[in-house]
Amino acid sequence: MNDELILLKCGEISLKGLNRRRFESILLSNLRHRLRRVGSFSCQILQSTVTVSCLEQDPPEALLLGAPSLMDRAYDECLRVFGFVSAVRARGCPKELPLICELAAEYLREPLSRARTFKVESKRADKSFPYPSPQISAEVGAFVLSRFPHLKVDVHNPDFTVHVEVRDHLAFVHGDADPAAGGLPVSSSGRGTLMLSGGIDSPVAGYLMARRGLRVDAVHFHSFPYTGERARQKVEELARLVGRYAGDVDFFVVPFTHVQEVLRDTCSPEYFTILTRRFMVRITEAIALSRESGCLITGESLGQVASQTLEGLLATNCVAQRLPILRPLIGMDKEDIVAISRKIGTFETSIEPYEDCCALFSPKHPKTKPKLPELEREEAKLDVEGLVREAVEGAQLTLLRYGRD
Amino acid sequence: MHYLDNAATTRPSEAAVAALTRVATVCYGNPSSLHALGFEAEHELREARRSVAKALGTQPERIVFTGSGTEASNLALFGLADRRRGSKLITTDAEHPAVLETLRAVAQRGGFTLHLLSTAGGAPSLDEAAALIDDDTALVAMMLVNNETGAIFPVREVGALVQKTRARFHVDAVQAFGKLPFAPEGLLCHSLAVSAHKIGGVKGVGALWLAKGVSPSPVIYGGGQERGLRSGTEPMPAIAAFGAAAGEYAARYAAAGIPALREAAVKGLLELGCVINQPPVACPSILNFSVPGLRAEPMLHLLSQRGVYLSSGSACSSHKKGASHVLVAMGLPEPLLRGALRVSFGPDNTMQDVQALLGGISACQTTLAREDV
Repeated sequence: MNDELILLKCGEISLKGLNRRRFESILLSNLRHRLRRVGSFSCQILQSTVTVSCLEQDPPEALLLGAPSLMDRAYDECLRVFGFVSAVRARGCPKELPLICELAAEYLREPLSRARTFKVESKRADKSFPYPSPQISAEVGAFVLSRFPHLKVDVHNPDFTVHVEVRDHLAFVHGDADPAAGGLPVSSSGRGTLMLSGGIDSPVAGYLMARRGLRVDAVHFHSFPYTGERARQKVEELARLVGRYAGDVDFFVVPFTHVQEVLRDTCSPEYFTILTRRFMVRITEAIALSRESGCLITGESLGQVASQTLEGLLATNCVAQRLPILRPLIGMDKEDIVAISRKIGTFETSIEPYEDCCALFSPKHPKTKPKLPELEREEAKLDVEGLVREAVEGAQLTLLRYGRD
Repeated sequence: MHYLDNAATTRPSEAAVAALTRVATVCYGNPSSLHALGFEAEHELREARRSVAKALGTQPERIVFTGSGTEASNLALFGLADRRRGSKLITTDAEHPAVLETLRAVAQRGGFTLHLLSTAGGAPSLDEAAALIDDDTALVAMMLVNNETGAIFPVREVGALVQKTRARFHVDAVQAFGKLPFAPEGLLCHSLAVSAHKIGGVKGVGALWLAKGVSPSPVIYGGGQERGLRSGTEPMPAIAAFGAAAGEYAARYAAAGIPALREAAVKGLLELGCVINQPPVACPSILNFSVPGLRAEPMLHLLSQRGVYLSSGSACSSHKKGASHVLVAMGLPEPLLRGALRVSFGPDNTMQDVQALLGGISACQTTLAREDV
């Protein structure tokens, strides 16, 4: 079935007025970049709908029993490209009613045979087409009934709906569309720098901001030997999983042990956690600025842990001097976050138990309401700038290229 | 590199690798085939079985090759648990998961109740065992050497208790094989599991010894290999390597002078302020100790960076979070649990490895963050 197509409906970018062309061009470029990993595809945008067609034959391995075809794999990719609200597989034919009827009965034979009731819904984008939508539906419906005599029409609650779209060049026939990833095309809002831990929350935060059109860089703080190589690999895997939606992710690993040792040796233990967070924000901002990133992203949720009280957020917020900190999970409950984590496939990796011995440094009773002057007094004992510089210079960058490994 | 994790796995010996290569490249036939290459493979199988049997001080026909030590225990426990013999399954709270988890599954599926003998102090008490083992007991299972502490459990004495009943007795001898002199017959058991890769063989094969007249029902069905007890084409390269390794391991182990290595390690560790988690009777190849104030994981990472490889708990359970169930059962206090490490010696180890270990532990003590006490 090589003449099968994928139809993708653009979401809110169709409302973007004068900027629409720019959004569309980013969207198409993202889509093509992704589909290139699968095979050779053509992607055309017309009237807020992208038509994807396959330009090559399925390779021999796709002909194995049960193996996905190029179209199957392309469709799976399309469902994870931000900027589309819905996706559906379809076939097209010349804009002649008898051909449309034949195509509907032929292409949709399988779902129609399984259904007991059906209806036809038609859309006529090309107003020069001589039949109005209700008449298209009636004609196609009558033809389908003649081919599938077991069917009954049910316009209110059908088992299956045949969709007919008459567009500028072709007419399309398909079943019900699937919801797609939504949001805005990655990169259309710029670049953001995610503080990525091995937990459940931060990958979800990265996913949510990528959905709002950010290209995501990820920064992970590594405390060897208190966290081991397997823990680092786990976080890299999480960054890759976020990349299934966010596309390419630039992944930084920052050596953080020295900062923690200095804090432990110099500062009052009850401030350790919040001082650590302040260093993380400073280091992340420095990396972000060097990459022309426009914001920091964290997985913080109000009140979840001691450093995520309002006072804690204030204490970390104010050390980011030039960039805003986006916290997409700030008002979410843990269950909401877990649900998204499961949906995007990061949960199972997030809960892998690699012991994080940074708890060794943490005080039994951290300050939940740190006062800024107290924190500044503690930091006055340190060479803050030097420690930040050392960590930034020691950061190791891995380019996680979506689909390449 | 200083490899001190021989209870997790051992380096395959040269003889084992040579046998593996020979069988994989030259005598690669299926032992069931009726042509010359099949006969050669069958010959290799017979020789390997003879060698493993000899190392165990038993007869070749008593040996069933399996896919691992764990599989050998599964075959014994699933295959011998018979509701008609009784309703109780008995083992210790310090068993390897290969036995503990298997018995939990046997209990659940077969409607048995599982009883755990306490190993407080490091080994199960015979009094408790004697009180528990009775005519309503279907199966008793116990390890000969504990994989985390090296404790030698009183298997023969328990075997004598079981003999007075209708119950079956399975022994997990995976850590003892090649290190302690024992013969299964002498342990008064009905079945006994060993593994190849703990004695210089390769991963992918184990063996179950079965006493005469003991015939478990199979877990794996198929073409009837291994007397119908373990179907599936025999993994011949790994089995040949097992045979080669079994033929030489006890001698290699004895030549390495492991008691002296252990003694030097104990002395050095005590000088560094470490606590030896010593059971009453121990196999010298395994040494468990705690570094007070430090946690195991950062130490392992730092030691690994220095090329010193050892374990916290056992390698099989270190991916499960939390303290070792063996050390908890032994009664180790919480701070010592968190800093517990296991050294396990093998034939390749020398005094230099002990020096590297002591140097590494000392480095951990000077650089790593201490637990607030």
